[in-house]
Amino acid sequence: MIAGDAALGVSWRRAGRTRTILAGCALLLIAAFLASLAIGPVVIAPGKVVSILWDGLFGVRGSSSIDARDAIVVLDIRLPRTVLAVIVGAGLAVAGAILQGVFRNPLADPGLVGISPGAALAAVAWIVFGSFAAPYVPHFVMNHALPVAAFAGSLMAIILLHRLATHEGRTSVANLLFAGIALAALAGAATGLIIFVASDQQLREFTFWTLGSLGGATWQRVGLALPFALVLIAISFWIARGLDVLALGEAEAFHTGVNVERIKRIAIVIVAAGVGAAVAVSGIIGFVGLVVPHLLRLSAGPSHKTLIAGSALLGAALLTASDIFARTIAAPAELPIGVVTALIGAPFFIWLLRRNKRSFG
Amino acid sequence: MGPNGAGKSTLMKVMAGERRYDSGSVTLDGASLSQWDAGALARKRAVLPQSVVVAFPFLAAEIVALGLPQYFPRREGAALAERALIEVDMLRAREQVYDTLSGGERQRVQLARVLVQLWANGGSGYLLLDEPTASLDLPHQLATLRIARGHAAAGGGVLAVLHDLNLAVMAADEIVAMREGRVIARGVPAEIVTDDLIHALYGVKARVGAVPSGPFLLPQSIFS
Repeated sequence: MIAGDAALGVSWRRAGRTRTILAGCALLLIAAFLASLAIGPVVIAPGKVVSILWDGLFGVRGSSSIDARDAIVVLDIRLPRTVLAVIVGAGLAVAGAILQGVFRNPLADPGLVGISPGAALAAVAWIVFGSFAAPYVPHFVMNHALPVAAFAGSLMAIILLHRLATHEGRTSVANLLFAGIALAALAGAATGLIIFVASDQQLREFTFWTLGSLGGATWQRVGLALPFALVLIAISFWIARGLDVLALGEAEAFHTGVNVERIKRIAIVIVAAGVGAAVAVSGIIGFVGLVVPHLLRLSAGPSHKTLIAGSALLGAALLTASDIFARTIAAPAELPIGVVTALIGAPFFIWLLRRNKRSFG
Repeated sequence: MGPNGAGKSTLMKVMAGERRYDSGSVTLDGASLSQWDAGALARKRAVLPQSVVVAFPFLAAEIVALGLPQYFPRREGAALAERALIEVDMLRAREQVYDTLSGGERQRVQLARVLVQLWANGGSGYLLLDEPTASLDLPHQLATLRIARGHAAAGGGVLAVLHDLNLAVMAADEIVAMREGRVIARGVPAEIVTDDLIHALYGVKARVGAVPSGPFLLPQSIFS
């Protein structure tokens, strides 16, 4: 140990490692982003992808027919989908990190504890029953109401979850998971019921909502989800330090000067916004919010500032990579992306449960 | 001091501003506690609870630094954290994950966090300690009370719940004895700690002696 290290008390080794890990996450995201633009029925070389992006930035498109075709593939077909994957992945992972901080529990995943299903239920209900309101509501408002409805659904689910699972500031894992499973099952059943009675025209398939898909990505959807994700990420940095202190316990955080109720309220609203927007544009995609923050806590430490930055980068990278897999493995058919994330996430969840058998009680 | 369930911790929680009270009034600097917000209270007092379970794998040094105010200068804060870790004899464990420490070590790390909070806010605030010596070995019990005495000598105030009566009479300027939610005696240890008080508090017949310098207790006298 160097003298300078000791003089600063707080670990520099961890700080240095944290920077390396964040840089690694950013590189992974860039790689996944370029791969997602390059890979598909038509494979385009990464160098070509970069030059198309660069030209596209200035509104220039290739002159030859092959160049023009590649530009359409990259800019009009793959880019919106990739950008949506980045937004949804970052949003879900950061939402998971914040949710876990508030419940002081690393098992709180928006999908597992019923928040995404709550958002999906509200979105489906809006699509089916909102059409009755259509004649009276301006078209513009109708177009933008879906993420708001999903936000309301996820907000209600979190508030219910908090009521059911938390007693005197303490959340036991058993209560959290029981309440979450009950909420998820109930919301899922109600969603199924509504879809069953609805006509096909009103809804895409049930699998979109239960297992997620980025298949319908358009710039319009990107525009719907982006503000919510940005609000979530920006505000979560603001409450990061409060969430660190909250890890000591609610009473202890209060002793230290943190306004616990305010932090919790802010966290609940931004998580609902992030999850609601993600679900509105891509259905329920599970496990991203569980796996990503946990990997980062293991490697870079539990401080929420790095956890949020890392979760945004790694979550975006993971979902982008999962989407490449989902749309190429059975091409021309598409695998629901939730199947891919569950294949990665479920074994991870089981490992997590076994590893922490004692300490989560 | 007082038996289990006498209301010592409850009283401390009320004084910390953590728990609402049904009757009476609690004031700090002449203003009712309900008029203080969390941040203002944190600048006036720090609280060491009986035990703290930390949700995520923070390092001991990171836990200590959580006692700092949000926008405290980084270098200065790190220096305070290090001083506090030295004070509680936990500097060697600063890079260990809090959860992997023993009960007594965790308690000392928490004490360091609480000290950092006081120091960062001027160093003359109130220190509320709920059974700070409960899981400590003898030398660290003494060290903890020495830190508390030092804080009082430096112009701060200390309120501690202690079960070890010998330590309590040794360290305290004033003792408050509680039973069934009421204060039954308060005053200078040498005056109020008597055979009768011990019997009234605990139902134990013990003899209070005063041989070395001040009152002391022989639990063994129960059996003679």
